[in-house]
Amino acid sequence: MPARKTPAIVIRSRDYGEADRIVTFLSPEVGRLTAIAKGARKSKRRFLNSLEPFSRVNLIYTERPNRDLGRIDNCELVSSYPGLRQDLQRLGVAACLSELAGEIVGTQENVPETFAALELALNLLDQGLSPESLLCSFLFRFLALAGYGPRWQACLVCQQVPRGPLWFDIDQGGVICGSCTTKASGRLYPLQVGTWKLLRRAQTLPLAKLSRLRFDPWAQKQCLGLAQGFIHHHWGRDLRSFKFLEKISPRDPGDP
Amino acid sequence: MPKGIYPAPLQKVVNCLSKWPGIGEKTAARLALYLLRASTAEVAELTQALTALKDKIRLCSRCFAFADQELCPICADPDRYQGQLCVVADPGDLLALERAGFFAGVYHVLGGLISPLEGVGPEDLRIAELFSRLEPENIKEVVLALNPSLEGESTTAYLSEQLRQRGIKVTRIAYGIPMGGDLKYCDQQTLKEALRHRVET
Repeated sequence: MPARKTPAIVIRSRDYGEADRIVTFLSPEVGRLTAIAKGARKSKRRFLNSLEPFSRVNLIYTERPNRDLGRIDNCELVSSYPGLRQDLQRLGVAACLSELAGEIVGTQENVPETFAALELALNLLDQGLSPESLLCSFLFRFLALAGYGPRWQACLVCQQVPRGPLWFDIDQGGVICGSCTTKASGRLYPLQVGTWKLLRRAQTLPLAKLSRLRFDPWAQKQCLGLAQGFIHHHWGRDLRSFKFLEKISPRDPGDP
Repeated sequence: MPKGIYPAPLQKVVNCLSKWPGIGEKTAARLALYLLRASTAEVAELTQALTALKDKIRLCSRCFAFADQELCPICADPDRYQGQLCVVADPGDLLALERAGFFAGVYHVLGGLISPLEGVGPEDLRIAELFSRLEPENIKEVVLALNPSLEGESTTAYLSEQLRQRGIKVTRIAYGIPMGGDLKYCDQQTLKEALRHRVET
């Protein structure tokens, strides 16, 4: 098997055996890809520090016949996004978005777009843009890329532009007018009009302009709650990184 | 227990040993056969040593390194300089630093590193215990000796911020070229760090 070269982002990395490392990458050409770096922990020269999570790398690897696990031949660091290491909030958001990006690329055609979105998100986080706003807009962008994007334009029941007070139907994945709730079939969560407008734009804005959206603390809270419920509904479990974000977020006794 | 090719007592030892890190079934069988041929005294010594390991070794109540008393040998040593405290991730790191024999202060073992992908946050580590040592022990300087990995650096950044807020001098070990290393084989990040932290000679 000839070696292949591809740009990639490290989305997970764990030690294996005595000196090896098993690394999961996201590549715009092959999607999610897991490969083993033999002797990565013993020889510091071979892979240097290119196998750390959330690094943008150029990967050279060989697929092995009848094995799921490829072999990493070489991995060259393009950027390690050092800014992520300076702040737990940024780190947690990077972890969340990487984890979700890894979940949504299966065999679909959305892989190059997902890769581009993740690369942009990591870049913006590294530059110090508000991690909370980036998390909200990119979470819903990733869901849309995976084909799970909620329906924001019109009410699920009356098909008109929704009128407040608004609700979000977790099971059906869309917005519902206050007056239509009696005909709704799924679990309903309250949704502020401001949050709805932001989320609608997050799904349609060109990728490069996504960082312009600003979510205030209330909208952030609502978005994260919705995203968590929605992801749990579709995947049947939570993202591991959500737990980390909860642990590092300051507790406010007056929270709703 | 799965049925094996060895008699039951031998199979049991093989099964136990093959759970150890870096030991597969073949190596486990070789070790088990060695034990079978070894003298009774040798096997008894091993059994006693293993039992004592579990019974006697515990964590030091002050720094959480391995100890066989209330305090580990380092915390109990009056000659160690008490004003300087070195933070490490696990006891293995502590032993490596001690082998270097340069650091004369005391230690604190965190028991891991902050890791978003594993869901490990600051409250899962012995960080509160670290802060509670600062005042009673009159710590002047905290030296952070954590690995220069994503997890290690994030933990370093978090602890630096927290310790600075408490008015404690906080330093971290330098990042740079390893002794006997080669500039050609160093990555850009390491070279950048090495240049940034150059010293006057």
